[in-house]
Amino acid sequence: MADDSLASESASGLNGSSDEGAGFPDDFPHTARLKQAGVTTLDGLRDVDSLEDLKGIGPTYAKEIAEALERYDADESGDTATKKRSSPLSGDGAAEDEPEGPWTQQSIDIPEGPIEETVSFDTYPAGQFSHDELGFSDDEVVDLLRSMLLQRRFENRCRQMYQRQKISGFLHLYIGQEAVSTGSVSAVDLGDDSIITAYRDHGMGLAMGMTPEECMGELFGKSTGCSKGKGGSMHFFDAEKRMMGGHAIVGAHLPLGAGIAFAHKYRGEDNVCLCFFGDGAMHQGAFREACNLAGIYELPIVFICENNQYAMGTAVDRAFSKPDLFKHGYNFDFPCSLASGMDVFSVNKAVSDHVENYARKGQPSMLEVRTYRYQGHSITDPAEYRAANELDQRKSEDAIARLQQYIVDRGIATDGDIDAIDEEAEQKVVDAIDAADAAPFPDEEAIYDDVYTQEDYPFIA
Amino acid sequence: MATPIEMPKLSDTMEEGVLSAWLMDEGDQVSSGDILAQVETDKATMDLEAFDEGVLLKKVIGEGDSVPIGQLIAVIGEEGEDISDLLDEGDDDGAADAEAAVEDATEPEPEPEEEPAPEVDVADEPAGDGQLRERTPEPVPAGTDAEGRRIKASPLARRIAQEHDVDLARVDGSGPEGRIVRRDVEARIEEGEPAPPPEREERAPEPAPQPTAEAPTYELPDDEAPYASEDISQMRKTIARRLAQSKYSAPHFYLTVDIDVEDAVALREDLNELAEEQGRAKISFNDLITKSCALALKDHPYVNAAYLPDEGEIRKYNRVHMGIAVAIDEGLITPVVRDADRKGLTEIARETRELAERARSRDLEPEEFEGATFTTSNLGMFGIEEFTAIINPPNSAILAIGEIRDTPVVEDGEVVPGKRMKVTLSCDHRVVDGATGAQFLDSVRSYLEEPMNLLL
Amino acid sequence: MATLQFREALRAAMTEEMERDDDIFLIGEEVAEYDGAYKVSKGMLDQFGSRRVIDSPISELGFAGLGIGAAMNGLRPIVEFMTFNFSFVAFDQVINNAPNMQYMSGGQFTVPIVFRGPNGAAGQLGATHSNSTEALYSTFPGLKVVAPSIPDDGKGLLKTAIRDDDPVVFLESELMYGMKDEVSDAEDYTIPIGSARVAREGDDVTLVAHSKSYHIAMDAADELEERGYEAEVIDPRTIKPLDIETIVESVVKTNRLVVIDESNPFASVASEVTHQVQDRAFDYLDAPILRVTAPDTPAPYAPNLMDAYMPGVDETVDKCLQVLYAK
Repeated sequence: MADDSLASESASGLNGSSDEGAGFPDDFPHTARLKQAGVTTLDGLRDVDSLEDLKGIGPTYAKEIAEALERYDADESGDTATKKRSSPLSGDGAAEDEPEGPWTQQSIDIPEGPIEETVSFDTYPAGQFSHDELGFSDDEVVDLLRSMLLQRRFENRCRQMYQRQKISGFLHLYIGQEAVSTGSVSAVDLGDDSIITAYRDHGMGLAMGMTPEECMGELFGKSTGCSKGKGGSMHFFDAEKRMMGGHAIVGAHLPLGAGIAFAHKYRGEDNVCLCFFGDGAMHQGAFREACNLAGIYELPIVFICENNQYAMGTAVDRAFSKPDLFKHGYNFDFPCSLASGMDVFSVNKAVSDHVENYARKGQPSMLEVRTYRYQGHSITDPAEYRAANELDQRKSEDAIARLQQYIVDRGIATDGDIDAIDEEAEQKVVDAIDAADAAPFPDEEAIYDDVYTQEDYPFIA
Repeated sequence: MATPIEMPKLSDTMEEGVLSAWLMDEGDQVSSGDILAQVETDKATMDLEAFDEGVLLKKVIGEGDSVPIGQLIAVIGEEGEDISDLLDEGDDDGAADAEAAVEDATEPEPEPEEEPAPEVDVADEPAGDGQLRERTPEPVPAGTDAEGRRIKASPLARRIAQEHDVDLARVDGSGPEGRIVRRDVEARIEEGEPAPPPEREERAPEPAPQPTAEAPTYELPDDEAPYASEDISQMRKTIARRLAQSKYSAPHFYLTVDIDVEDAVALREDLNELAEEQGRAKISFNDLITKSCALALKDHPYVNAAYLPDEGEIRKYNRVHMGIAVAIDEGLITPVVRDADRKGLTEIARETRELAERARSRDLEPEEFEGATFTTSNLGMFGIEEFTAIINPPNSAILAIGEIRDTPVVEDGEVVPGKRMKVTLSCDHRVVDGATGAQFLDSVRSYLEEPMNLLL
Repeated sequence: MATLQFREALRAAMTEEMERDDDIFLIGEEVAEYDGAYKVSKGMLDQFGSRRVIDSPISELGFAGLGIGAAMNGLRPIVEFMTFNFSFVAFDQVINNAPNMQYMSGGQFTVPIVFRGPNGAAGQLGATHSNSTEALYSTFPGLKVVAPSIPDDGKGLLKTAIRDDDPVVFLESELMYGMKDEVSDAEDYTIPIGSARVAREGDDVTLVAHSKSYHIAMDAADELEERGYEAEVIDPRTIKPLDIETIVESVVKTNRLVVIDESNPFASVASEVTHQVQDRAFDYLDAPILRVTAPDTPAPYAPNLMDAYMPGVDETVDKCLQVLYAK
């Protein structure tokens, strides 16, 4: 990563960053001592807080090294790796941000190799974070559970409603992944920051505060649905909550996420966009294009890969040449991290870090959240591609069970309280089903509504 | 040998280039690959590269000048070489025209315009003048329901027919494959629908058609003679309408001349002997008349003209298209020999025969019987000595040709056998005055009496 | 009135709108530092700075989608495709995301975006660079498709397109960028989308043609006049919505229609006009509707083949004479 100021402010100081070039320039002083002290690159050197603390470096050497580094940084021509330019969009305009010019600044003098880079990635394992260090009150922890339980009850009932033919079309369920939506939503300013996701979108919508009534209404194709019965399962939207959609073409919404972030930046807002997608979406060219544009325009976006292990029926490690998906962000010089999706706190911490340390500072980043999809890809998929006992084993790490255990262990609430919360969630879903059942389908004339904003658009008769 | 350097095309959308900077001076030695100047195109500033060796003799345009692609901008050659020719050429297509050239070039895909043909075909005149617009269609049966054939008619024709209660089965179509089109139905309406077929007689009587000049109605006597009924054919209707219109609107007068055709008859016999030997088409006497008239018409523009009252115009045609009336079973039709004044006798003969044959077999295309500027009608073969013809509108005259007679003539005070032919010119007095017509006839007579002129 | 090149008229439209509304920005390949591949955006970087005139890498899918996302989030992007041939790598964005967003969100999100750039064949560029996309994009409900033929319409319609709250595909032509003509400099000059222009009145035959084909129609009308026929020439200007009323009104008068459309013939604009006219004016037709289009082949390279490929004046006159029953 080129922007060292950001790197030094990140949690680890080396998060996802790569050291530039191999070793030091030829004329750099005291390199042998530096290497002996474990500092092998310029970036490594920049990260050293106090040179004098290094073994074998005294005050004189430290001064000379510091001066050389300053000289070196001032004179980019000695750089063997090509620096990413800061985006002209990030300045106040061309007039003040012109010095570089449109010509290439990349060297074709190839340095003697090999070129080595050291890259590190932050991780957010399950069970590592507690609610109080993340700033959640006890009540808020219960709210997290409430959110996750609502999603699970809702999705379970959806299966039933599909079987009763109340719901048609494609139906992709989120069961097993609830910590991802809930943990992420609790890490942003809901209603100001934007979230966009793929077609497995019920959980995210509910976590963002869309009501079960409008969600179930949409699934039933009723006029009371969030999209007035025009979108269906894969197209949940809520403009007020800044739920920018469920999007059904795999990968196609990643450039939209970049654009949403672009608009935040363009208006000078402090807001960010969380762009969720599945592991399968990373095969699409749209992933690469969106990341690259976000990188050159320095957009406030976090690309969050919700890796649920299967792209439709294809296991992630069968489909990727490089199955550590978080590492793909490195190609764009993004800070990259890997988090567990089976612990809502891990997710929350990872997303918070990426939002606050990178996105809000105009640095796009990538976060892979490993999770697991209990159901098949869609309601009609029996998921026979799983290994024996695979599902049971994964369920043993269930995020809801983990949170319930955490709550009970910490004395935040009792088992009885939790049962009551669950029943309450269940009741909300049942009420939503009743409401959806009772609601009318859209008027037939509504087929012409919302195609164009133009009210008198002359549709071909 | 001096080499002109012209504004090159340096971008795919470039139309003109601005010479932004000269990089070499007059007198400099130029080698292939040298950059002479920089040119600003619509897209970028590009190098103007030299592809020839020599000395830069002349910079024709200055920095900042904008010229279209292909215009001279510099000359390379040998020191001291005379390049005035090149520079003159450059001037010719130079600055003055440059602006226009650019303007032209901005028209996307200019299509090369064909030479504007003065083919002012009155029969092809558009709407706004219904009478002139009408053509002599070649009637093609549209088929009838009774014979189980489908009637082909354009949707518009069907609608108009329905509105005017016209039975399409009784309309002949003039469109492709006999399609009934608007003009056919309108012609039918103009003529008045014939008596409705019997099955329609139960219906309320239709209002009697309004009498008009073109279509007078007659009261039939009570003791009408027995008759055989025949539907008026489309062609008969057209003849009726057009000729009535002609006689009604064009004030006719007639001029007759008796022409000595002895030499012309002899010439024709000689020519046909030759033609037989050479396997060429034989020439009819009528072909000699056609050629004579065609040549004479060139000298008498008012006879080769049309009077267009609605346009306030007398149209004197630059070309001579000879209509030749041909009798066919259903009536008559006038195939057109175009540009007869420019055609040789053999070609006129061949074309006339072919057109007449195709006319009899009803095989003429509309453009083959439309657009005559003058017409002849010959009844000599029926022993008619002389007659008057009705002008074929919108022509201004028609020539009626009688038989060639062996007749005693007075020559040098003696009565000798002679060959004579009477022709009568019907003139539209709106265009052709007496003297004009007489002078034209005199020309025709001169050609026929000194027929070698027809071979020139 | 000012005499402007087509590209200058388009630039004037964008510039005026961007001066008026800070939410409008221009993004595309080479639009900023290079001044536009066809110089449409020349000088705009200097005027508006790199925040609002933005160079994109060769990444059509990416920047088309970025534009749509920005539009969902309240901005009004102008996305330039260097040519619409390259829009095909962004096809999903243009046809699935832009036009469907409002519908699928039940009206919660609109996508006020303009995709603009040159369309259709532009000389000997070969098949991949010669596609005509107007019929294709007109297929998708939610999109509006505009294809002006003269600089004045270019300016007035582009300003309207930028202000429109619906996604607009705005089709230009490389070959027309240099064309100069009078352009209104009236303040706030806009032309409504969905309104055809009767460019020439006549009673004998109706010619419908947009974009480059319009100029062929006008030349053909001149030639027909020499032959004694008065052609009425209608430039629909907007392909979608199509101002069919104006066309039908003309056909009711002339009873004949020839459509000139440089697209390939199958399911083309010409097809659609033909269908709609027979639907609405069947009883006024005195001849079949004919059309002049590119052949049902890819665009060739060789100059003679390319000449044969493009609709021409002779072919147009010929078709007109056919429907006039003058042949």
